[in-house]
Amino acid sequence: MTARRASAPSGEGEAGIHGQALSKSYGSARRAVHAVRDVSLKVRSSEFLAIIGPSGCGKTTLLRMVAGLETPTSGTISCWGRSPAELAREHRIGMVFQDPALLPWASLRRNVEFVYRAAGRRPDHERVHEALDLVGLTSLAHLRPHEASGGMRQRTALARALVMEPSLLLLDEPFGALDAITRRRLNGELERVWTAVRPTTVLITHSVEEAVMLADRVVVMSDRPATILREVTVPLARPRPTVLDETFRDTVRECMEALDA
Amino acid sequence: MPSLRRRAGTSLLGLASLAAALLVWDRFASGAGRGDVASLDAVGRLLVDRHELLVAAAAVTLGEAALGLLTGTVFAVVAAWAAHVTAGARGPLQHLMLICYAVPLVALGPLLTASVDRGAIPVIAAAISAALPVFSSAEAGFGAVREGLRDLLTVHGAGRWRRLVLLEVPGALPYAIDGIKFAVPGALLGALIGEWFGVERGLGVLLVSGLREGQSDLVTAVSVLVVVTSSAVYALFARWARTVQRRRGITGSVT
Repeated sequence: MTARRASAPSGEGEAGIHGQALSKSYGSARRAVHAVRDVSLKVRSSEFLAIIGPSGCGKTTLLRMVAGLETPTSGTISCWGRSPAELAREHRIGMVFQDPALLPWASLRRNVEFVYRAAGRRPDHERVHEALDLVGLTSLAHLRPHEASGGMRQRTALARALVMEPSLLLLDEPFGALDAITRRRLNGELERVWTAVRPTTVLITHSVEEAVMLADRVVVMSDRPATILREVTVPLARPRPTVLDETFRDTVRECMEALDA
Repeated sequence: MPSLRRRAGTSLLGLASLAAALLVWDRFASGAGRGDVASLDAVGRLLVDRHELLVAAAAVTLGEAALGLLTGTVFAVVAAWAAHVTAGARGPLQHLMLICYAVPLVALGPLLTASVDRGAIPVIAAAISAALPVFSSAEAGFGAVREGLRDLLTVHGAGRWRRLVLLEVPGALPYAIDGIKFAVPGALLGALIGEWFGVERGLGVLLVSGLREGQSDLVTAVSVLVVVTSSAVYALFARWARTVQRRRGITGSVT
């Protein structure tokens, strides 16, 4: 498999993602529900950032603003100097949702090819093959989603997110609906795949262990409206150790303490 | 094997029900003072003796019903999509569809006669009868497309047209087919009623002629043909719907 390193959009160096004073509220001014309040966030190029926080705190809203799926009520987002919408038009964003969101009528291979069609391009069959190979699905690519396991479906979604070599990979609780064993295995696969490709990545997760296992830096968010409580740098080398050592446990504890504060 | 046995059991049950219905019909027709109901024997003889006339009439009516079904389906799917993408249009379109479906077709006859070519009336009547079931199903189909897939297309900068072609139409397909299945009998009856307004050929014309002249065997034979044709076309669409659903891992009816 010839994994290609993701490149940042041209001429922008280390700038990456820069969210400045982001807020998002829903409803009328009088009865507004504040999902995110005054969050500023930077993600360097090729950095893996994880965001953790209580359920419903606004993490997904934050990610959707970075993806250009939600417009901030106030604040700005810059992705290598562009708006998320511009980055989307250049097909530089890959996204994986908790629900793998696959086309039920298409094979896993056709689902990976789908992003090319979504982007108005002809599928690059070599890249599709490489992406399927990267997630270990080459021999099962003929299956339809309902014939595949939850893990296979999520791996397909990951291959689909990576196939167009995105500069920005957004992962919204991608393994949240899977059992603990499959989730642990897929965490290992994601780390391997990410190390091979290294796109700038933002992961939303409920699992502190998952965040520490995968990310370079963990952002701990408060209950709604989401604000940043603490940023924790993960001092673990890559590839991450399979046996969890003292450093791993200390980092998890630090994140936990921030969440409980 | 159990599936084959279950299918054989269902077929046998169907045949037994049909035989029982025919038996009740024959007993009813042969009863004292029931001359207005044709016997099984008389209907059978008419179906054989006048099969050329009946087949020719059925071909005309089927053609009109098919064209009406197609027109009604296209109109219903477009209306369902408009209702799906335009929040304000949903309520008015639902009401419009319901009103069209609820107005007795016979009452629309004079209006249609005055405004369109008589030959088009059966097609229009069939389209009106077919539209509501397809509209309801297609609307449910457009709404059933997963939010994640819509988001995925947005993340890749896809506009409304690409979303429609790549996602919404294929996603709504099993629902629309299910709706068409239920629209088939309505389209056939619509074409039949539409033929009463000055058309020269078709099962509807034979039906009116049989009623006027007291030919109960002709009326019954036409009714049998309509029921058999409706059931056969319904079965075809049901099979198609099942195939599409099976390919997508959908169990049970989508609507």
